[in-house]
Amino acid sequence: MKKLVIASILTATLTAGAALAASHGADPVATRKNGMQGVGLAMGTLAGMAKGEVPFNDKSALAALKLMNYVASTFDQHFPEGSDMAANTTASPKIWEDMDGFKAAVAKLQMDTAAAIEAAPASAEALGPILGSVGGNCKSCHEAFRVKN
Amino acid sequence: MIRKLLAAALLLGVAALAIFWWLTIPATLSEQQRASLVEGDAAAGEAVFWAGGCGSCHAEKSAKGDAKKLLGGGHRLDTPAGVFVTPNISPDPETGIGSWSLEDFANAMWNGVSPGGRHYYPSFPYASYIRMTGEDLSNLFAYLKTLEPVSRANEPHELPLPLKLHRGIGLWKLAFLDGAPVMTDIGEEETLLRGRYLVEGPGHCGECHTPRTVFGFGGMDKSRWLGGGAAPEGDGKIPNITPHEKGLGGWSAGEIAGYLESGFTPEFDSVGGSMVSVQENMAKLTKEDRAAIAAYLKAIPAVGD
Ligand code: HEC
Ligand code: HEC
Ligand code: HEC
Repeated sequence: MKKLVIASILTATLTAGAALAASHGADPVATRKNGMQGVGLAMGTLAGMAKGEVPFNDKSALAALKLMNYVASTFDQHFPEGSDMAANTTASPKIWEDMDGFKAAVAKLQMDTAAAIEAAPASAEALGPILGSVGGNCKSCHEAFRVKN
Repeated sequence: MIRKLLAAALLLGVAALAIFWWLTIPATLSEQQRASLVEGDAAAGEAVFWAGGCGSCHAEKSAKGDAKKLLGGGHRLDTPAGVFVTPNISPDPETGIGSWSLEDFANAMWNGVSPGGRHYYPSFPYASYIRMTGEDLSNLFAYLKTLEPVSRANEPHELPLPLKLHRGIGLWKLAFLDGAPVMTDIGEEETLLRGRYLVEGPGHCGECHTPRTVFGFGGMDKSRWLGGGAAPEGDGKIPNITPHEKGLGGWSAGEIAGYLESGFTPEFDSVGGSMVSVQENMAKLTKEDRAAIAAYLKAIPAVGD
């Protein structure tokens, strides 16, 4: 049963990652949203393990971090001028007013996830500080650059 | 004949002005309000400070952690009515409120009136703070006095001329300022009553999550309480947080409390925009208080489209 849970989380995570990869170059709004959904799933996987709701598994943890790092590595390329007007986007117009600030926030997510991959967490306890450093990025970027519609 | 008409019109005009003048005289504390004030307990006031979110408007924009306790003001609130520049409420005696009495403070928080007798604009959410208890206000005031004084002179708001006529706010208050609970029939369960107090009073959730009447300039529309609407500041919309399927219908009470603590939704989306500062205040409350807020949000009527 436990194995099944882990496997299904891993599959969901990687499926989201694959969806992201597949949609590359097509619709930029869909691409960036898929990417963020993958990031959300990865974050959920890690938080679940840290809280002991799902058993810790080092391979799933690393896969989750890698997925986030992968999304961050290209995330800012999917914000062409005018794509803040798409009906289904929650990207804030502030992204285009302060593209440098936005790129810096993307770079920070990439750096923090890279450091976490390097650290290769080997237990649920080791995930705590990583959730803090990686997870802090979500809020600070969403505070400045996202708006609900 | 014309003269008589003119005279009558003039008289009516004067009478109307007099009535306007009389109706919009800024209030002072009522006997009942005054009697509910107590000797403040600064330690207990800290929780009131976080529940009330003073640092979200009176500290610098996006201030984090302890920087949220530096209440020098100067934070610009860019609203459709104009730009409000928040005043200094640190205990600095020259530029802040260090020389205020508890009565001055209570009259500002409950009645929206300054020590000099001016009506405050409702961008200062006293339409919610009016529901705070005298004990909480007294404790909050004692706590504010313990914070670091910041020397920063207040700046004028940047508003169109008609809105500079403060007496007009007196009419707004007559129509919309009401200290009664919004959800009058949610029962007597203690958790729900605590949740109601926190949400409708200090937490001032309705100031953002409830649409306003009169083209957005009126009071909070109680028939669509917490049903979401246009953002009071900046772009976008504020989500519906009633138990409707388009709101928090799919969230359990535990998930709502978890969001207020961690900033993550059940789908692991992360909190954003102006809610970040609010969420970080909520994270400072006790678990019981967050659970009470969540229970209230599940108990109120669902608001649809
Ligand atoms: C560099 C900025 C940035 C960072 C860091 C960031 N996000 Fe996002 N996120 C965005 C933007 C911008 C959107 C809106 C995309 C759109 O709607 O076009 C978004 C949207 C989302 C969505 C909704 C996707 C959808 O389907 O609409 C989720 C879920 C999400 N983010 C989760 C996270 C989590 C979890 C983290 C932290 C691990 C995170 N984000 C970090 C910028 C960021
Ligand atoms: C949504 C933003 C907002 C929040 C939250 C807020 N305030 Fe204010 N406050 C304002 C604005 C704007 C004014 C100026 C109103 C005016 O000039 O008419 C103000 C004015 C005041 C004043 C009058 C200061 C003076 O010099 O006359 C006091 C006192 C005050 N606030 C206290 C508080 C306390 C205490 C809290 C927390 C419980 C708080 N405020 C939370 C926006 C806010
Ligand atoms: C300053 C305005 C403001 C105030 C005050 C405010 N909120 Fe919010 N709230 C928002 C915004 C904006 C969002 C959307 C956040 C985002 O973009 O992720 C939000 C989102 C939420 C959500 C998540 C809804 C969803 O569908 O994602 C909950 C729950 C919530 N708020 C509860 C509260 C509670 C409880 C209070 C009072 C203690 C409160 N809010 C006060 C602006 C506010």
